[in-house]
This record gives sequence, structure tokens and C-alpha cells, in this order.
Amino acid sequence: MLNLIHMNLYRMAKTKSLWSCMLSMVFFCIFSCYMVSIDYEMHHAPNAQTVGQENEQSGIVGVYEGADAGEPESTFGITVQVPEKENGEMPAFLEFYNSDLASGIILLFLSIGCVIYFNGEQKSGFLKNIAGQTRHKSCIFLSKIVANMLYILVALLIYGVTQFIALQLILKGYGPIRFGTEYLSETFLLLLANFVLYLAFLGGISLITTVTKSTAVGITVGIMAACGLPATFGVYMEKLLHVTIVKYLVTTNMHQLLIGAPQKNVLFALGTGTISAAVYYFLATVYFTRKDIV
Amino acid sequence: MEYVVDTKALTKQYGRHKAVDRVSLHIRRGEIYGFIGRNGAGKTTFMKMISGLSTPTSGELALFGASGKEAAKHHSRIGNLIEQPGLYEGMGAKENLHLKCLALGIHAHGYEESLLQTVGLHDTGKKKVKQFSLGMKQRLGIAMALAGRPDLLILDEPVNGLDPQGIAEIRELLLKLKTEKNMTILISSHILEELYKVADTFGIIHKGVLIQELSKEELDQKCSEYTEIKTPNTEMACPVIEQMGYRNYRVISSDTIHIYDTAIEIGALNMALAKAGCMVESLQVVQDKLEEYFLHLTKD
Repeated sequence: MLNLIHMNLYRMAKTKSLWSCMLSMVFFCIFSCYMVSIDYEMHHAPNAQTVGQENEQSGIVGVYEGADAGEPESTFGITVQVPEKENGEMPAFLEFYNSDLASGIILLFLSIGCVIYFNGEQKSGFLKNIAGQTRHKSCIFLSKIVANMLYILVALLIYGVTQFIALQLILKGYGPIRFGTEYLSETFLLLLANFVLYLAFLGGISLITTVTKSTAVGITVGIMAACGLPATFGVYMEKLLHVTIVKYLVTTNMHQLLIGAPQKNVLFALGTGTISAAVYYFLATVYFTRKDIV
Repeated sequence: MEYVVDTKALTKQYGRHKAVDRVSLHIRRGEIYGFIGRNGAGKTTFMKMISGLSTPTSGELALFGASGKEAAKHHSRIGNLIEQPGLYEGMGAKENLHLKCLALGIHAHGYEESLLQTVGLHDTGKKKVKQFSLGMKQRLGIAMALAGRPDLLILDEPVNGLDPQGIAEIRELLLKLKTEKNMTILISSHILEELYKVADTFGIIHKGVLIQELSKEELDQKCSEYTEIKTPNTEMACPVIEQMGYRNYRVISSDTIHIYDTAIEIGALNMALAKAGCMVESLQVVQDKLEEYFLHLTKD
């Protein structure tokens, strides 16, 4: 198992398409920061109404409440909730960071990279070289979970560093951006929940890619799912069949993970992510072990 | 007799189609086993089952003397090159080999270089596999199969795409592996004459069924000897052949007759044909080679 993990890590480092995905994510992060600056220009314009004022009128307070997290997500696409302070103060970096993580934008790039990586071994035929000589075929698949974990961690790190630098440069006209050390402990919990949800999401995408053996199908499903298509279907199912699935979806839970989110929501997301990841990886491992290598 | 591979009624079925049908095959330790069959005969499917890449639908498979679940433990002793070499096109030869070595837990310094040297790819440098010729990819595939010093090497069409020199080099390599490392090799190839040069035992598979398994000596005995007459007057020649007492003959084409009777008196036959006014272009004793024998066996 350790040998296979070692092999996967070496291959990850050598796979250019994974780094291309990361680079695209970096560009998107910079673009996102630029859009934040436009949002703030609009908010600071004469006659602009702050979120604080809006919340006061609607009786809700804080960043989390501003995200309308209580309602099931039914819109298709990725929306980054720009954090706003009631007093108009510039939010801290960690608020921006958590807001972006909850939007699912990183997931979009992660799912593309994951599909390319998972299917690469199958498409190149390299699997034939190792599958026979590996005692337990399940280890080949399970070792990729570690690769997924590392890929997520690297993505979270790169996104954070890029966003921190980009915000400092792009929003410097609004004064220095604070790091937000007061949110550090909360961020650790949110990061853990996000990490588990991302891992579960990639588990689902890995399962689809393993079964279909198609990069195109894997990427399409990954993008659609990251954009919230299952949630859209879930809302319809809820209305038509009265079956509640939306709150158990990975993306729905991920959208809740903003600074200020109630702890029970974060813990629920953590639980949902853990169970989803276990189920997806178990199914994929069983399928991978039983299928013939072609 | 110790068999490295011993199968009993091994079967692989896809839906209603039996790709491999009750194959009972035996490969002795240290021999080169030539596996012959047309495209789609079931060679690759059989090799995949032996390699552990595919699960048999029914039948028994014994590897290195162990059968049942114990046999699966010996899959790690089998190196394979099945169908096209499985390589990452964006990586070089050494990187691909390094990946396989990492998976097998081999960290010996210079091991990858020695394998590349063995297959003649030591000078590829940082060249990507996508820039390799088909023959180079095939050689790298063999090097990948050799990683981990397997006791049984399974090679499916390993000389595909190789030039004559490359084929000769691979032949030398296989013989060297057999003699120096006592490696057992299961090899399939469309180039039957080439297979004949290296294999000790042959298995002929047709439509999923192993129709014959025989040693090289047995094959040589079975490959029939016949006398070939080339003449434009085959109609005139036939009565002469019969008059001389040869009954086992066949008119192959408008100008070729094969006589399968043994102890032919070539001189007398030539004289008799000439006296009958039959122009003989050539008269010679020919021995069937593997290809003829294979075609004869797999004739539908």
C-alpha cells in the first residue's frame, strides 16, 4: 500500500494536467478577487446600501445570515458570497477565504484534475503493469484516496496563498486586509469540514469515472455537480415527491460553511461528508476490485 | 513434473460468448511456451487470467504449484506485456519504469538503467514516450514486464512493430532470460517462424479452445514431409503418379501437385513424367513448417 501511495505521489508531481488545473484555479482566484474590488466599489458608491443596513431591515445579522443559508440551494452555477460587515468595515482575509471555499469554485478545478488523474492510469494502460502484481487490487484504488487528500490540501493551500496576496494587491485602495486571527479556530473546523466534503465529492466523481472509464463523462458530471445540479434536482424532488435529499448533498452542506455558521451545521456537514466519502470510496473500491482490467 | 502454470478447464465467458473455453494448459518451469492462435482466438483473454488481470468464469488455475486462493499470491511473480504497452506518453522511459519500480517497492540504485540497458533503451535520455517509435514502446513494455525479476514472463505479441534487427534482439533476450535466469516465458506472436525459433512447447488455441499442446520435437514429427511437383500439365501428371503406385497426393493448384507418400523415388518419377510428355519445372521434397501446420489445424 505504501509503495502504491509513493507511486501515486510521484505520478501526481509529474502530471502536468494537474498543475494546469491548479494554475487555472490560481487565475480564477485572482479574477474572483478583482470582482470583489468591483463589488466594493459599488457598495461604497453614493446611495449604496450595505449588507448591514439590509440585514437590519430584514432582521438578520452577520456574514452567515447574509448568505441566506437557511434556504435549500436551487440555483445552478457557482456564486461567491462576498462577505460584508454590518458596519461597512472591510472583512478579514479568512472571511474571504472561507466564503470562496464554501462557493465550490475550488471543487470545480479539483474535480477536473481528479478525473484526469484517475482515468489516466486506465487510459494509458499502465494499470495492466501493476494490477496483476499487486496482492490486493483494492489497494490500487485506496492508495488514490491519499492522492486525492494531498491534491485537496495543496489546492486549499495554493488558493489561500494566492487569495491573500491578490486581496492585498487588488484591495489595497480600501486599506490593509487583516488576516483575521480571531477566526482562526473557526477556520480550522470549517477547513476540516470542507476537506471532508471535498474528499467525498471527489470520491463520487472517482466512482463515476471508474465505472464509465470516460474522462468526458467524469468532467461533465463533476462540473455539473459542483455547479449545484443535484441540489436543483433535489429541490424538485422535494416539491414533487416530498423526499428530502438536498440537505444531505455534499454541495448543499459546503455552501453552509461560512464564518459565523452555527456549529451544528458545521458538524452536520462534517458527518455528511464522512458518510458520503465512506460510501463512495467503498462502492468504487468494490467495483474496481471485481472488474477485469482491460 | 513441476508446472509453473497448470490450468484445468479454464473458462472465461462474456454473456453467451465463451472467449476461453475449458482450456487445460501446462507450462513447465524454465521453458518458453509459444501460444498460437488467430486474432480473437482467446490468447489475450487467457493471458489476462493467468496474469491476474481478469477473473476466470470457471475452471482451475494453479500457479507455481499452488491452486485456488493460494495461486493468487503468486501473481506478484508474473510480469506481463499484454496488448499494447501501458505507458504514460508524457513521461520518459526511465520515469515510466521508475513508477513501476515504486509500485513494486524496488529502490535499488541503477536498477532502472540496467533494465533499459537490457532492452536497448539506455540512450533515450529525457525523450518522452509519445516521441518513441512503436518498436521502442514495445521494448519499454518488455522492460516494464521484467521489473521485479518475475519468475514467469507473459508476452503478448512482443515483437509487434519491431524491425528484423529488433526481432532478433528480442529473440536473443528471451533465450538469455531462459538460460541465464531460468525464467519461464509464455509468448504469443503472429510471426510463427520466429516463435518456432524460441519456443520449446506450443499451444494452439482456436475459437477459445486449446486444440493442441505439443513439444517442439512432436511438432517437428507432425509437420509432414511431401514431394512438390511444379508442372503446367497437372492433368497429364496425375495418371503417371498413380501408375507409379503413389495414391496419397493432392492437386494444390493448376501447376502444383503434392505427394504425401513417403519414400518417393525422385529420379524415377522425374523420368516417368518426362516420358509421358509432362514438362517438370521443379521436383523437390518439402517439409511443412509451423505456419502450414497451424493453418491446417485451424482450418474452418
